[in-house]
Amino acid sequence: MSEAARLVPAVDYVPYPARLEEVIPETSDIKTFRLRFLEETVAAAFAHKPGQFLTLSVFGEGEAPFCIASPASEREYLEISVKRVGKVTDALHELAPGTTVGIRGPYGNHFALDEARGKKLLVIGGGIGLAPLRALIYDAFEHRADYRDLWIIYGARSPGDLVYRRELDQWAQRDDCRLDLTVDKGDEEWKGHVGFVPQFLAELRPVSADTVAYTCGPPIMIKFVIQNLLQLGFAPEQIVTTLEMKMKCGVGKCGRCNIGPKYVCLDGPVFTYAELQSLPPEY
Amino acid sequence: MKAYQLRAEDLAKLILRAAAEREVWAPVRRNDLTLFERITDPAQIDWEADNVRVPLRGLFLPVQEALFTFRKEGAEVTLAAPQDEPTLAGRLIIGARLCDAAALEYLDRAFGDPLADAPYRRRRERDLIVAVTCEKERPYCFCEVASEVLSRPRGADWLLTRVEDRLLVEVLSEKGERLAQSFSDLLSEADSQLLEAARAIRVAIAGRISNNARFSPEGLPARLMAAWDSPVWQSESERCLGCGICTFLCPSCQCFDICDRAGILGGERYRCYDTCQFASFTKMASGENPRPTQSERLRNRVLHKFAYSNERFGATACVGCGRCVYLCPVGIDIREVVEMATKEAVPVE
Repeated sequence: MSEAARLVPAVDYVPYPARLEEVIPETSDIKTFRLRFLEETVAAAFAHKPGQFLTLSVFGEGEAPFCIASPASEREYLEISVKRVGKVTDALHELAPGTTVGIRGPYGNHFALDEARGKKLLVIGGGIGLAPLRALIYDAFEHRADYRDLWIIYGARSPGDLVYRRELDQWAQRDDCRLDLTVDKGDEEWKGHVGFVPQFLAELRPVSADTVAYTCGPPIMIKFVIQNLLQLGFAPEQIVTTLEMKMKCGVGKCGRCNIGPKYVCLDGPVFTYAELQSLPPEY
Repeated sequence: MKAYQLRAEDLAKLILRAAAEREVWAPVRRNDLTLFERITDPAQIDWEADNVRVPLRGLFLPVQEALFTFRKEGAEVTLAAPQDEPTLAGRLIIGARLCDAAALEYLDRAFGDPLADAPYRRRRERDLIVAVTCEKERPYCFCEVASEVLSRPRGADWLLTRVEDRLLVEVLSEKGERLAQSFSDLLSEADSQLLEAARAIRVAIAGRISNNARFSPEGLPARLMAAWDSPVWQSESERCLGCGICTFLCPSCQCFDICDRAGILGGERYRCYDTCQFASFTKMASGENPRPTQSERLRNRVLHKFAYSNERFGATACVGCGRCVYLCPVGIDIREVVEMATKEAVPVE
């Protein structure tokens, strides 16, 4: 089973071994995991784009899909941000750096940033939903001249639930992007905005003309963000979201992530709202 | 493709010769069931039975199979391929029904490119399938209406049709032609009379089962999509036990789960059948479930078979074998569900 031999279209479901290099605590129940492939040939061949996902194996516990949170240009390592919610994520949160894990991917489609060239980017995230958007944000920073305004609106349940805190501070200081933060419920130290993301969006009133909006977060947040974007004059084609659905194989074979005839793992996870409207209402 | 004739009495000879080179699998009687098993003697074959209980796909997508094994030493993990199956030369599977073979042709699409399923494809490329034309139909057979199974034989390498003391061998693949070459001493070119007789047998069966489907296949995908909000999903699923037998023993269902089985030192990752009829199939770790009740799950099964698959793969995913109809412990009949759901619904333009 040479590593190179497996970089072919047929899928044998065997992951590439990788080392867990670093565990970065984000919130009380979210950690970011930095991963590095053991084989250089694999690292060289594993080229992802913002919005794609991988499956992570904790050997003995199983395998689960996670969006890739690290920038596409970062070829030394991959990062995923994981909330502790189930069997595999529980085990992952307990792993010590140095442990061998497994990675398959990159899978799924990606944010079509090419089509947003020359336009304004509006990024709206909630909670851990910032993870896939983070890869997109770094891509936009790297090709900043390709776009006009970059506006990031991000919120979480509480100040302690905001992820990537150190990076949010850096983004806030940049003069080539705008960052607006909100929390559902503040605390004694929080001086920023308090309120839900969709309402905050409505108050901020971003202009829809020449703008593409990217949103990810809890399903209920996405629903109301889309509603408010439509009210602000965004067309369904200007609204892009990335869907969460139970997945196992990642390659359109195991059958569970379908919405009508589409498989979220192959045809998604990134969809425009216009695309979602053409699918049966099952997400 | 070519067609040959084989004297009926030479079939046993052919099977014995094949068995000297490779494993031969065929329907074998087990108590009150018939199942595919490895045989060494043609006399073991149960030609008379109803279709095998576990469909042909079980030989290509096993109920459970190891994907790889792993060993742990401290933080290090070493992966290894699962032990090779002892059938590397390729099996000859004889006695498959055309419905089960047609289901494999559908699975070839579902498990094909992009990102083809390697274990399935490996077995498909390796093994040979000899299908047989049914000599009598059953009340639950609706293969021709569901998927044109009799008029478009597919998915096998050979199709055998018995006409009195002769067997027509219709070659359905290049692999099948190579197989025919290796038995050239037993085969001779089929005459048009034999070809016509075999065709007439299939046409006659298709005619006799034409009313078995109870639904019309005309424009079915669009009519079913229009039935999205039909009350039939709810009313028909109320008595469903959620046992999943309709999918586990379906010749064209593909769904599987991927799990680990491990001790302290290592273990294996395996896949096993899973079903859209279980709540856990789509329930996410967050607790959200896009198909929370049996009603949505019945709708998914029916629409997947007759609508989604047509859009995605250009083929209906039901071959009309009838297993889900006669094996359902509470009598949910996919033919009636389709008919009831589409009766009222009008497709939108």
